[in-house]
Amino acid sequence: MDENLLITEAQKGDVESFNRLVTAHQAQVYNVAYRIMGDGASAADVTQDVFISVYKNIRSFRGGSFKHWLLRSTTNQCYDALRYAKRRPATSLEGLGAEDDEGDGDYDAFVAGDDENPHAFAERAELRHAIVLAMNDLPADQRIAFVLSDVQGMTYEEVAEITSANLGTVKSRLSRARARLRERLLEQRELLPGQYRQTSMGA
Amino acid sequence: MNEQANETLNEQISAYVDGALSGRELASFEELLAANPELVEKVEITRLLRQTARALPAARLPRSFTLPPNTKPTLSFWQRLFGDAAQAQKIMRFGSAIATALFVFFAGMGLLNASAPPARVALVEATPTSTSPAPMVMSAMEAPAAKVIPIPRDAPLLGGGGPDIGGLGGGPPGNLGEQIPDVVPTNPPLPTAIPSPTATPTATPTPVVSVPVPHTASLSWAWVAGAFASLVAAVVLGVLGWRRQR
Repeated sequence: MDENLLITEAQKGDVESFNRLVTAHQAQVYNVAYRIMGDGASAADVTQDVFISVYKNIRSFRGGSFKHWLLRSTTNQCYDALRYAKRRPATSLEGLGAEDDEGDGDYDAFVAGDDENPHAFAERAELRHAIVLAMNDLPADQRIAFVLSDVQGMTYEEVAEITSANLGTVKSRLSRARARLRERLLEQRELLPGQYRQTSMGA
Repeated sequence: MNEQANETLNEQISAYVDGALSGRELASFEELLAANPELVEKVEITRLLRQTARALPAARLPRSFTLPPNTKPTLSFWQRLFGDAAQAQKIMRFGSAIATALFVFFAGMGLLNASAPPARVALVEATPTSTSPAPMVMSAMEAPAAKVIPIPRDAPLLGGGGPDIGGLGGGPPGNLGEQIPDVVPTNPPLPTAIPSPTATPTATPTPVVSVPVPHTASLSWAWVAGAFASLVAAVVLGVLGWRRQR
């Protein structure tokens, strides 16, 4: 069914039409929230809040990309949740598992490819784990820019629209996020693939 | 390397990895790369970072986030007041136009009021030679004093029937006469100098004294307050309408 038609029906209060929109977009909303929040429980809370908030405010949607509108709401909810978590720090039980960052992920993450030996697979998993941990230490604005651009593969323009920032700000946040993550990886060279372990500085 | 230069270099690395450098910027950066192995390493690790992040597995949904079928949309105060977005926008535009017109009206009236010469009241000095109509109103202070006509105590009283046949009538009996006051005030003469409308004015100019009347402060403030309130309303409604349009 046409998305615009579903939106129009949802604006009239049709929950069924809205739920079809939810079904179409919930995976992406949850994944963005998951990468920004860093754990499944917080991401689920944020996702639920996003869809409730969007349903309440769907009458104020005035065209454009519905996906971007949803993701804008998602990033805003994540900002709020991160601020709240910063004020009232708590340890998530879910976060105690060492391998948990990929625990909710696709099973393909735990299966080596045909052309990948077990050693290479283990290296890749460790590198991924290190990047995810380092992402959680980024400031919220840099983390959101990195998730939208590098994890979700969006363009600068899309990130700018979703975060309501200008292009220069997006580029700056993204470059800072990458620089921080790069520094973290350089501090743990043993996690890098073989060709990166020989430093150019002879260290 | 200072902070600013480091920041610029990081932005260049990021843009280079994204393929966002072009022309002279790209050539200049590639020259830097050729001369700096450390920079090459940074670029390579940034590429690895980007590839790994892009390959992060999608998280599985823990549950469905669909809403219960009986969920009702909760409308905000403004949504209940204005209805849907398009209607609200129209109302705000209309309100803004009305407020702007009111502002122009109030501001214009205020300016006219401020720029008009002060009103003067002409006072005409009455002179004996003036043929202008004399004021007909006379205050109690200005009225001439009443004339007192003395009445002799033994004068026969006029009017009315008296108890005595020889009396000229009207008078009270002797003991009552004692109660009559000694003087009887008569009415003062009314001014009768009503000029003829056909009278020709004399050559003597009538002196006119004009007195400026100070501005009434409350009137000016009313215009200013009205203009200010209209301006605020126009701006607020305009901004609200513009925000809704966005």
